[in-house]
This record gives sequence, C-alpha cells and structure tokens, in this order.
Amino acid sequence: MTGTPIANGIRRLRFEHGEMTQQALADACQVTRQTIIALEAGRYAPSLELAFRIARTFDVGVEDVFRWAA
Amino acid sequence: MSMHEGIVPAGRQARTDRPSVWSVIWPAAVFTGFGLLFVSKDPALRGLTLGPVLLLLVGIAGLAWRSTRPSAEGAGPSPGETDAWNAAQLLLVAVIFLQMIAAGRLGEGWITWCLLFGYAGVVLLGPEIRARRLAAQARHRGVVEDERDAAIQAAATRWSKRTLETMLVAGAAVYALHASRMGSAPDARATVAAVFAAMFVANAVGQWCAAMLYWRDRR
Repeated sequence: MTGTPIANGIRRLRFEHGEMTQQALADACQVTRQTIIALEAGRYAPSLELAFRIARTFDVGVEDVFRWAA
Repeated sequence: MSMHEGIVPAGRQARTDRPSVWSVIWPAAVFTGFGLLFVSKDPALRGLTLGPVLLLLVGIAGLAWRSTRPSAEGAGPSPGETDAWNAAQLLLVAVIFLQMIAAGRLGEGWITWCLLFGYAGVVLLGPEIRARRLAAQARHRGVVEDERDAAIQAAATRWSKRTLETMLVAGAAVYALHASRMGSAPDARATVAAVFAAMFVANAVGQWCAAMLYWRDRR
C-alpha cells in the first residue's frame, strides 16, 4: 500500500479535464475517493482494470496516466 | 464514457466525506470507562486498570478518534477504515473480558453471562449490521468499498495469521514448561480463555494493521 514504483499524472489530468474533482473521478471509476487520494499520493498501485478505467475516463492511454518511476 | 462525465462541483466533495458522529462515540465510551476505573475505590474495578490490554485499548481508541479528522485532502475515513478501528477495539474488549474470566474477576454471577452473551450477539450480528450499513451508505455515496480495501484486508489477514501462529507456538511452550515445572497442567478455564484470547489478539492485530494502512494512505 506504500512505496509503489508506479508514478502517475492523475492530478494533472483531473485539472486538465475541467478541474474534475476526486469524487467525480472516483464515481466514474467505481472506487472510493480515498483510493483516488492514495493513487495521487503514490501510495497505492492500482490493478490493471482500475488503470484502464482511469485512462478511459480521461480518454487517454494507460501509459499517458501511469509510468514506471523506479 | 465521456471524459467529462461525472464531473460535479468541487463544493460537493467535502460533504460526501464528512465523518459520522458515531465514529467518536466508541472512543468516548472507552475513555469514560477507563476514567471511571481509574478513579474507582473498588479494588476489583481498579484491578482492571492493571491490564496492559486496557491501556492498549485506550491507545487505539485515541488513534481511532484521531482518524476521524479529515486529511490534508479533506477526506474523512472510509467505511473500511472506520470498521477496522471499531473491530480492533471490539476485539480488545473481548480480550479484557477473557482476561477477567480467566482470573476469576467476574465471579460466577449473572454479569459474566450477560457480557458473554452480549459479546456473542455482537459477533453474530456484526456482519449483518455492517452489510446493511454499507448498503445504506452506498445508496447515498456510490462505491464504499473497492480493490484497495480488499488489498488492505489481505495484508491485515496475513498479519493476523502470523500473530496467531506465533502466539499459539509461544502458548504451547509456556503450557509445556508450566506442566513440567509445576507437575500439573493449568486449569481448563484458563487454558480455554488463553486460546480464545490468542485468537482475539491476532484478529485485533490484523484490524490494527488494516487501520494503520488506511491511515498511511490518507496522510
């Protein structure tokens, strides 16, 4: 649940998409807001399914959201 | 799904994560109980304060109360986090009761049976109450549990299992040592209470671990 080597640009993408709130993204991806917060803070590595859901919400590819940062 | 689907005004975000008042009632009860025991003149009641588990319970109640504060992002505890804190405290209360029964502090009166049946009722009805509560919250808030909850619960279960194994091995060693030195085995009531206490402690450790993982995610 901590120290994941996967970095992400979720926060940037939210603001680029009409300042979407964390709750709105959570609702769109069918997760809790706390999970979005953990993801943005880099404390949680999502499943492949959730990664695709997030990318799909922003209409971008998975690699545009997540990158290997280790 | 369109990219802007689901966008809501920012002002609604904090309202949905407002912590429930119920999340502070249990810690308040624990602190009040501890205070009453501490100032009590009755030796039997004061004896309870000697239990390190009671001190641990007060500590965890304090952390549980602290967890109700919103994080820097303005998010309150998730239902999973609240449940983890509540379960950790409830299991420690069970350990205290078992300690008291094993030490004969509760006596043979009806209070012992009331406590035991009350606890059994909570254990039996707990999952149903939790399921109904989550269903009610889901109607208002949408998703209340997700894959992160499952991952945290899996980590908690691992810790719980390790703790139980360690305690059972240590308990068996103590039992054997006691039997060989004293020439007799500990009485049945103390043995049964010790086994149950080990299970409750292991579960409490698991729930405490889950609560800490939730807390770390939300810092």
